[in-house]
Amino acid sequence: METLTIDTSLHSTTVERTGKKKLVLVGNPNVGKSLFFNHFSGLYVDVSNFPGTTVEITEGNYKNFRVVDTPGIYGVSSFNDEERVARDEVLSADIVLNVIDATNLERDLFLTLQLIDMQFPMVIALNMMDALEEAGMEIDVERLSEILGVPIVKVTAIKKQGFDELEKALEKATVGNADKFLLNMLEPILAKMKPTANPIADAVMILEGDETVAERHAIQPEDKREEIYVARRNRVNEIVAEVMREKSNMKFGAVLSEKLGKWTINPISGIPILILALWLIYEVIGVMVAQRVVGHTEVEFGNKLFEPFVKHLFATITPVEISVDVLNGEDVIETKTFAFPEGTSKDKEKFEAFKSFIEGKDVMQNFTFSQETLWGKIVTVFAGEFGAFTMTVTYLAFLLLPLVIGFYMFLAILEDCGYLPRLATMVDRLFTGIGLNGRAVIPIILGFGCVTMATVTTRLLQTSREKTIAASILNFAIPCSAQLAVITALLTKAGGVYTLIFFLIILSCLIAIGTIVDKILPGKSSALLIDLPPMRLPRASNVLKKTWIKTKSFMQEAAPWFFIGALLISVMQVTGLLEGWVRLFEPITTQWLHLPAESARAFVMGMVRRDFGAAGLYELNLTPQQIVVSLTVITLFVPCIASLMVLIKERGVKEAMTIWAGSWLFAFGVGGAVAFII
Amino acid sequence: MELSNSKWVALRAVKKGTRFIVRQIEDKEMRTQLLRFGLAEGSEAVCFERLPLGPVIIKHRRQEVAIGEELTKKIWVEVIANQNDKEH
Repeated sequence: METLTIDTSLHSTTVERTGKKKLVLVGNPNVGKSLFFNHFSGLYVDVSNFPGTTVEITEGNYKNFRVVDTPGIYGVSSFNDEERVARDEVLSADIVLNVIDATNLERDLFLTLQLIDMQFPMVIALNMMDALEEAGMEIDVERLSEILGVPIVKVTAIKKQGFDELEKALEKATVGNADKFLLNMLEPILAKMKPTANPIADAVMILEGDETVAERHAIQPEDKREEIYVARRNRVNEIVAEVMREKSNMKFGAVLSEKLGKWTINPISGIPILILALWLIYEVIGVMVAQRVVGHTEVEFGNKLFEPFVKHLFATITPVEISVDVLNGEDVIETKTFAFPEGTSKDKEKFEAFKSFIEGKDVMQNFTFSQETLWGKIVTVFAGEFGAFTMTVTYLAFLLLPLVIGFYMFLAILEDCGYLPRLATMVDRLFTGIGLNGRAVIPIILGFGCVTMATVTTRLLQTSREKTIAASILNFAIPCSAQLAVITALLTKAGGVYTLIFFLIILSCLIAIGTIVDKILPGKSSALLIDLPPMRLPRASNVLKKTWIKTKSFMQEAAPWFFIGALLISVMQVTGLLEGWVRLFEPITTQWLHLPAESARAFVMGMVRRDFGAAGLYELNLTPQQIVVSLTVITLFVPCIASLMVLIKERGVKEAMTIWAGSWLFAFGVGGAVAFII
Repeated sequence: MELSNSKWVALRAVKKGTRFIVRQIEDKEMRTQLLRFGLAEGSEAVCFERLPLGPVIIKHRRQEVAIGEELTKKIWVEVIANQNDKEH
């Protein structure tokens, strides 16, 4: 990653390369920056994932500009992934459009002054003028523009007010009034630097002690950050004192926003709000998307249309037995089997009979490819029960995709309305006990949707230590939505007391894992320090854009592993390895866990995809005690193959394999103990 | 920790609704982060909300910042008013 960034930033400016000026949008988080980006670049945007991060950079074109959106930052520096990505985009800018939240002038001007000190030609968009009015505040924009030496345009982006003026102002972008004292200090650094797009900006970074930028110029960073920050903060405060004043009392909207923010944090009102939010997520994703949408798309499009289509292609030249179930609603009313010992193309007559049999009926076709030849085995691998071209496509497109979209949409809504940081604050105390802070609530909640998705999200945690703890909890103790349905169904069979026992077991395992990993790992986790943006209605365009970007990058990242997982289990199936594993497991399941021998198959399958495991259990006739034991094992058992691969990528082979191997011991250890006790 | 003024208390001990001046922030990283959020040594703020055993939420003009328990022990403040009257 480093070599890559060195290349981009020390090169010539983009104007020289493409003839287009690079307009970079910069602003604090939640200032409505993306609305500006959408306005300028319209629909044709290019989303790219910055190497080694989840941070996305969106690019588009506007007139003679290449417009680049950057992640929200509080300052240009290198404290986290977002900042590092934004830093490199900013440093190679030709023009900067700085978006400021007018109601948060004191916070936002800090970044503005830094950008001015860096001597970028820039324009300021003073956004959320309507909210400023609501808050009863007033800003002397002319005076502010005079002090800063940069054009300022008043905008209410959400109502699309002020964009015309902003477009005109872009042509008048100017270099503002930098801190003279700071500029003087840059001279010695500038003399030692390599040629670059914006030498002054790079020099400011080096003076502020940025190691990455200093390294690119092969000079030692200075250690003036705090001194400069304090001076900058003081200047901001002076400016704000001069240009901002209170006009009237806060209006209803602002008061409500503040009250609502308070209610979501205080546990007395915050817990009911959280329960309400979780209930909504469950109703929409768990019931509507998972049961209705997915239930429909998976069966109707996947199992009945797509898979038979692919399988028939292979069946033309492969010995196959097709068993047709004629359905009436949920019930099978008739079953008929057609055998094609030389493939469907060799027996036209029977194939016609087959076609006329299924004509106009609601049918489910089950293909059994002959595995006597190598070709038959290969077909089974690609188009059989767990086929990479059949089942995996159905799973990814018709099951996982709707769920992932649903989860990311909720996450975007909760993020955009300002709820997530407040939720993190409310639950912070619970998480400090297991070596995390409140931020970890996001991956943990996502884990109940898809552990793979949640493991990717652990990147938002600050230290490597916290990422390890969260990844361990996720991959050990959190059942994903694929399992939850079967778990719920089985627990309903087992009854209330056993359900409670199961929950207590899993909860104590979760706490135990967190505590143990927290104790083992050296060092200390970071404490919560988080900015709480005002609560407001989420903006549809923002939510859609975030959902789209996150879904796309997740599917790109995880999909290949689902294919590989399917290939693996299919190969195991045709080579007899699967049976071998199952037999190996049987003594443990019967002797140690007191479960029927067939449940061994469920556990082995669970290694590839967790819902296979859970679904396998459903078909067995288990006593309530056995249900608790088997569900405990399946929940604590190893993550699915996609999770494991993402885990390896995120946390390294050593850590991932420790978690994976640990899951074996832990799942069977706890399962055995439970079997012994109840 | 050497404190130059005995009237200073840790943010941990400040009651809800109390107005105070931030006097000292011990942790360098936190100092930098808070500078960017708008809070510096010398800033005036109010304890907006505090959770039992959990984070303290301080408000500085329109800006709310949640600070985890560990860090609230490292911020020293001088109480200027223990009030319920309206903040600006």
